[in-house]
Amino acid sequence: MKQFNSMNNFNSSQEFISKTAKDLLVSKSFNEIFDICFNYFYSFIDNNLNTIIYHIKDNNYLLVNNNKSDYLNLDKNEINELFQTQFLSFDSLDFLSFLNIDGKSAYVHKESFNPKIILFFKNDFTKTDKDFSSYINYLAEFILAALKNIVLLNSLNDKRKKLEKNKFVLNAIEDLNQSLIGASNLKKISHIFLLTITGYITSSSACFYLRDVREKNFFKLINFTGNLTNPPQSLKIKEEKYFKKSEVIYSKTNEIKDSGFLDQLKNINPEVLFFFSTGFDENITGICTIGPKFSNEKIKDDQIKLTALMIQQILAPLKNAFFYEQLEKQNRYLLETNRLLKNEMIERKNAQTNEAKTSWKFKTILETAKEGFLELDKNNIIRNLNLQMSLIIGDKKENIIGKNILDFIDLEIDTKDFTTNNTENRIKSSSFEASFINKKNLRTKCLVNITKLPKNPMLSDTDESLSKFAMVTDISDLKNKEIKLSEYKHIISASRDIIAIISPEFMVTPMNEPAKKIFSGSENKDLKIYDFFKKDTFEGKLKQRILMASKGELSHTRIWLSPLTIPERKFYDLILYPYEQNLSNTSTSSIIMIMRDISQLKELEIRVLQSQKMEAIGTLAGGIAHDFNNILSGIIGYTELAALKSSNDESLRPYLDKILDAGHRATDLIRQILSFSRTGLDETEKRPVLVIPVVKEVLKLLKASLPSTIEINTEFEKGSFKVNTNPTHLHQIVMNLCTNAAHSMEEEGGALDISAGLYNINSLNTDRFPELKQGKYFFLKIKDSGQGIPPQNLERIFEPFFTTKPAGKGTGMGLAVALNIIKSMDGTITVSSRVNEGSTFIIYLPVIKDDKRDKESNKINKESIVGGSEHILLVDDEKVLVDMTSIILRELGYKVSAFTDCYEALESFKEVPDKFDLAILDQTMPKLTGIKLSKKLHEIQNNFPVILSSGYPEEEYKDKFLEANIHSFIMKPLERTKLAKVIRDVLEKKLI
Amino acid sequence: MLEVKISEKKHFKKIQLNGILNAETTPKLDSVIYKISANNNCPNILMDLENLSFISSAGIGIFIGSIGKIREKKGDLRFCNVNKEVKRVFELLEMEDFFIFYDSLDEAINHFIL
Repeated sequence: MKQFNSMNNFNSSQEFISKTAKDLLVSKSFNEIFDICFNYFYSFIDNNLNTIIYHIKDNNYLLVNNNKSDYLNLDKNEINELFQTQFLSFDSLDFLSFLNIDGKSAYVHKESFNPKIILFFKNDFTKTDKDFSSYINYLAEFILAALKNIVLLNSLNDKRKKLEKNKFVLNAIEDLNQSLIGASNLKKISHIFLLTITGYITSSSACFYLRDVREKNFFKLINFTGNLTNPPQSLKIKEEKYFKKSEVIYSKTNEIKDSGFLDQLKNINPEVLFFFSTGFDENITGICTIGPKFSNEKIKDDQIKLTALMIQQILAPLKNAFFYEQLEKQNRYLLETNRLLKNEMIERKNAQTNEAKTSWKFKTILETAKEGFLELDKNNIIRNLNLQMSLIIGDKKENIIGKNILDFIDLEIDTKDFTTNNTENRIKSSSFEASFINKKNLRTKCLVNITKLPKNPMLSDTDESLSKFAMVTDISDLKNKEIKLSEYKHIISASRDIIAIISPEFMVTPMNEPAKKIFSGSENKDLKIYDFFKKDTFEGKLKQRILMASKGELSHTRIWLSPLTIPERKFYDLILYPYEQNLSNTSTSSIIMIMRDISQLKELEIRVLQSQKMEAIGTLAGGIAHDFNNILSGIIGYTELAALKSSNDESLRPYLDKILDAGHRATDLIRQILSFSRTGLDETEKRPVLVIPVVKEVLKLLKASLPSTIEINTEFEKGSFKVNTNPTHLHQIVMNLCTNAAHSMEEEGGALDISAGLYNINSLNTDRFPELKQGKYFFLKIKDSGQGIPPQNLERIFEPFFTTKPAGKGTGMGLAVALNIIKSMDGTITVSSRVNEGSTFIIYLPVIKDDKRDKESNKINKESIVGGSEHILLVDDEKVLVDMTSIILRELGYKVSAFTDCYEALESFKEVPDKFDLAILDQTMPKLTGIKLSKKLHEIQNNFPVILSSGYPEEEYKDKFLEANIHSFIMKPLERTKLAKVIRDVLEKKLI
Repeated sequence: MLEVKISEKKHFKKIQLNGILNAETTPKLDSVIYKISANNNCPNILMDLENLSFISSAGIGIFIGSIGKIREKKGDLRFCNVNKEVKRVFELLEMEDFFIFYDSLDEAINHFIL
């Protein structure tokens, strides 16, 4: 703090004022003046008289004190008026309010000289003391003088600074110029330039770009300074408008409208851009970016102009450097060329000395080579050739030399290769196939490789007598093999067998489409044979075979395989044989694998076997059944007799009934076996039958025997549907199916749904019934909610003797017989089943229109047993049967002469033919068959009534009946009722 | 015309310049400062300008061009023993508040700790 004067230290106020005035005149800043004023007023008038100084600046009055920057709000005229008088002293409140100054009185001083200053003293009280007023005026003069000094000093300082700055700038320009004299490096020039302008502008960064020599629109970053982390390596400008020859154009970034260009500058964020071009060579065209400044100020216009000037200055050095660099490049290139030429010269010299030695060697090699060699000139005239070539052409050397190569080539094949390629200088060699023709017009397919000969340094440029050299290889053998190979290839790809090659490492390569289907894996992956099978399958079935084949042993087998790439298991004929023959003990070979899908064949084979088996069973069963039938006849017959005799003994009756029941069941079974074992069912027995009544009848029978837990629902379409069938057969089918359904629900109960109606098979659904013709069909659907048929059994249910029922309960013949019958009716049967949900059987039978004969159907004859007193001749080789039948007949009232030997019977008949009224003959007898015996009887007595009996159904003999004049037939076992009726029928017919 | 001496101090590297720093001589110093700021984690550089008699715009350019990166790496570039003429250039460019100046090397050693 400055030591101020105090009033008390002075003798008079005048002395104090003069001291104060002195202090004022040496004061160096506005603040100092204020301090002095404050001190003065404080000591002198014991009051704070505010000093306010306005100093004219920018045509207005700037408040100087208190470090405030506040303008006095006066317009120009008012200012001028204020300065018209030299000095003002007034205490007008008006003026104060005019000046917007708070206070009660003011003293105003003004100075008319430059700088213009207004000085106020502002006070809160009104003091009109004359002395005070003069002191104030006096002091004001000093203050103003002091102020003037300071203002002048400041302005001088400013001027000095400006000059110094100019000097600095001039220095910078000079410095830049000096440093660039002789500079020949674009990078260095740009570096120095960038440092100079960043220093000058105090810019935080700057970049320097030059136009890319090859890409006109691109500007390459040459150099940069400052804190840029990632300035763009190149800028792209499409428009040339930024550049003017020999000029530097500058533009502030915010004035640039090209947004594409601005985007590229994001990382740099420059404030000003300079575009320059030397005007001499377009290549020296560039962009310089500058800014922003470190301080928040903007770059001043004069700084921008000066920078442009500096750029102007570096254009010449840039141009020089550019050319220098070009020259340098050129120079380097020349040096390199020179070096190469020297090397070549040396090589050629060496070559010439070696040539003599090597030339003989090469000639010998060429002459003995297995390839043909040709030397051609530019017109394709043969100048030289070797022995092999003359063999290919088929003439002596001397006859060939001088001729055009095209004379020996099959021109039908494209010969462009000979002519065009060689005229093109750029192509040095080419190879192609051509056919040479010899004198005998035989063609040799050859591979020709033509090389353009390098220029011989020893020959002049114009001498092109030898321009081409051709190497010709006879490839006719190869060509033939290629054709053969291609044929084989076609055969392999046409084959439907799966053909693949397996390497000793198990790599598999599919050779044709079927193989690709099986052995296709993801791409880029090595395909191994074991990837396509389950591990067990591979280890167990394939591995050993493959290993054997890879050691040279052929392996042929038929095998079930399920490759992972196909859904189902198939039966394959698999052949593995080694790719290479004559292997040594240790080596292994690739394997050719051929797999043929013979699943269908296998299936057929199984079917044939099955049908053969069935046939055998049929024959066997037929034979057994016949004998068995006879036995049954005995059992049933005697039981019936026993029943008759014991009519009084009620305790025996139930047992005999049981025997009869069992006997009848056995009879049924035998009949079914017999009818199944016959090849076809009798066509003549068929007639149009109304189906639904038959079904209803079966249901009636069934209802009686079913437990109440099974509910029967029926749904029959209205209408009379007839099918051509034997009603008994139809009865049998429906009964079988319904019984099966009922059995399946025996334990749990359930519903048996039976529906029937008409079903059309047309082009839309014929696919579902391949065995049926299109047309109207009667369908019968039998649906149960029983236990269902497991899938593995579903295929076998129609097989004879296949049953899942406990022994003694089912014959296993029901469905087999049903299917047989349905087939014989040109119908079909379908089945669908789910375990625990039930099964559905649907029968389809062709519907017919015929309505004759149907009235007779379903008639059940219930006549009572009628006997007689006629004499019957009974012949059967079975003693038991003869005895039993005799008893039955005698019971019925007939006289019986029974024989087990045909001839004995015949003799007896011969003796007294009239004694007999009827003969019952067994068909199957050792010496004579029933039919033959019948004929012999008729020889004796024409039209003698004969009943034939047999275990086989009537159909077997029907055609022979007429011929042998057989009156009737009775199937074994002979039952009493049946027998009685047949006998009566025959005898009564005879009587009529 | 410019001699650059580098010495290691406890908290900073001292670069002493002898001669003048103008467009011709700047590349020499530029590469020195560039290497120090690039190879150090926290590059602290003290420029001892006692024997620097002249600095041109390009010389200022070096300091301005490098200070951004140095401070980004939490380092600083400071000056000591700057003579009147050289200091005047910083003043003319209104950069004297942007950098820290020490009157002597001792003062710098005592205070240039970051």
